[in-house]
Amino acid sequence: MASLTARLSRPAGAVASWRQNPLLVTSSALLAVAVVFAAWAGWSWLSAPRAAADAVVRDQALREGEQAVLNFNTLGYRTVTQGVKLWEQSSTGTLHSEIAAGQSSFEQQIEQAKSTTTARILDGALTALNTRAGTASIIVALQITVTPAHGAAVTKQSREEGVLTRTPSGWKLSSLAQVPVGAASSTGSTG
Amino acid sequence: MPKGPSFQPAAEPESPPVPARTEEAETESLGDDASVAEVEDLNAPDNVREGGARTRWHRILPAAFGAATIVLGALGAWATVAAHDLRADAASANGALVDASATSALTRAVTSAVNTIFSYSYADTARTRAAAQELLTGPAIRQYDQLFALVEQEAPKEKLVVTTRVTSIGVELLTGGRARVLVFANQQDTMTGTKKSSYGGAMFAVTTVSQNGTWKIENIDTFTG
Repeated sequence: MASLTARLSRPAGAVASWRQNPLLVTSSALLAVAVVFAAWAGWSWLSAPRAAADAVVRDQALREGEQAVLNFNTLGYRTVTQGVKLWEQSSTGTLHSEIAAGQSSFEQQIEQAKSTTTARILDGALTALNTRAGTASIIVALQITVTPAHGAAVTKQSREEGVLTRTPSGWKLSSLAQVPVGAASSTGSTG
Repeated sequence: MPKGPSFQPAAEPESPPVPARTEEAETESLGDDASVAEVEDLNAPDNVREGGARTRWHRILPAAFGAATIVLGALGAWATVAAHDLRADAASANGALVDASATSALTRAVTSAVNTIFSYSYADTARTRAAAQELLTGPAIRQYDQLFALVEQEAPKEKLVVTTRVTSIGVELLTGGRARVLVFANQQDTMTGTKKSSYGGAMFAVTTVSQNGTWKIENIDTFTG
C-alpha cells in the first residue's frame, strides 16, 4: 500500500519538483542557448575563408620569377663567367640546357662586345599559376641599360615573358623571351 | 554560473523532505538522469532513497549545466572573434590568380577596355572617345583626354586607323573593389592614304576600381614617371 501511494504521487512529485527548481530550468535554458551559440560560432569559424596557401605560393613564384628575369638581363663583360653561372642557377629545363650548351659562345660574344647590361624591374605579374603542377607564367616590364665600352649608355624598355617551374631550390625559368611587337617595329605608343 | 531564482526544496508538501545522505543514495545517483533513477526505483521499498537522489541531481545538474554553459559560451566567443578576424583578413587579401573566376573576369574586362579605348579610326574618333567615357573613371579620364586630344588632331591628317590588341595580361593585385593589372599590348597603325602599316608594342599597368559590379580603369601607369 505504501508502495502504491508512492507510485501514484511520484509523477506529480517529479513535475512539482521540476517546477519548484527554477535554478535547474534556468540553467537548462541557458545551456540550450549556449549550445546553439557555440554551434553557430563554430560553423561561422569553420566556414570563414582561410588565407590560401596558394596565395603564398603565388607571391613566392612572382618574387623568385622577377629575380630570375632580372638575373637574365644583367651581365657585365668583366664578370661574364659569374653572370652566366647566375643564368644557369636561375633556369631549369630547356632554358638551362641551352645556356649550358651555349655557354662558351655567350662568354666570347660578351667579352668581345665589352658591354655591360643592367636592368630594373618596372613591374611584373603572373599570368597563370598551377600550384599543383608547380608551373607559372610570368610577364615582366623591364628597363634595360646597355653600356658599351665606348659611347653613351642606351636605355630601353623591354617586355619579357617567361615560364616558371618549381624546383627543390625554388622557382626557376624554363623559358624566357621578349614579347614580339608584330611586324616591323616602329613608334611604340604607350597609351 | 548564472543567478536564477533561489532554490527552495521544501515549497510543496508532496515532495519528501531532504533526507540524510546514505551510501545507497550515492550509488543511485550514478544513473543518467532523474527519470531513469525513478524508473529503476519503481520497486524501491522506501521513498527516502529516491528523494535523496533527486535532491542531489537538483544540485549537481544546475552546476554541471552552468559549467557547460560557461565552456560553450567561451568557445563560442572565441570562435566568433576568430571568424571575424579571418573574414577581415580575407576582405583585404590579394585574390590575384588564387580566385580564378574573379581573376578571369577582371582580365576579360581590362582586355576589352584597353582594346576599345586605344583602337580608333580617324573617321570616327568621337565613337572611341564616347566608349572610353564608359570604361574610365577618376584620373584616367583626364589622362585619356589629354592623349586623345592629340589623336583627334593628328589622326585625320594621316588618315590613321589604329588597332590595339592586348597580348599578355597579368593580375598583380585583386581585392574586393580594387585591382592592378600589368598589360602588354600590340598596336597596328595604318595610314589609310598610303596603306602603310607600322607596329608598336606597349606596356603599362592599369589600376581598376569596381563600380556597380563593373571594373573601370582609374589610372594608367606607363612607367615614365
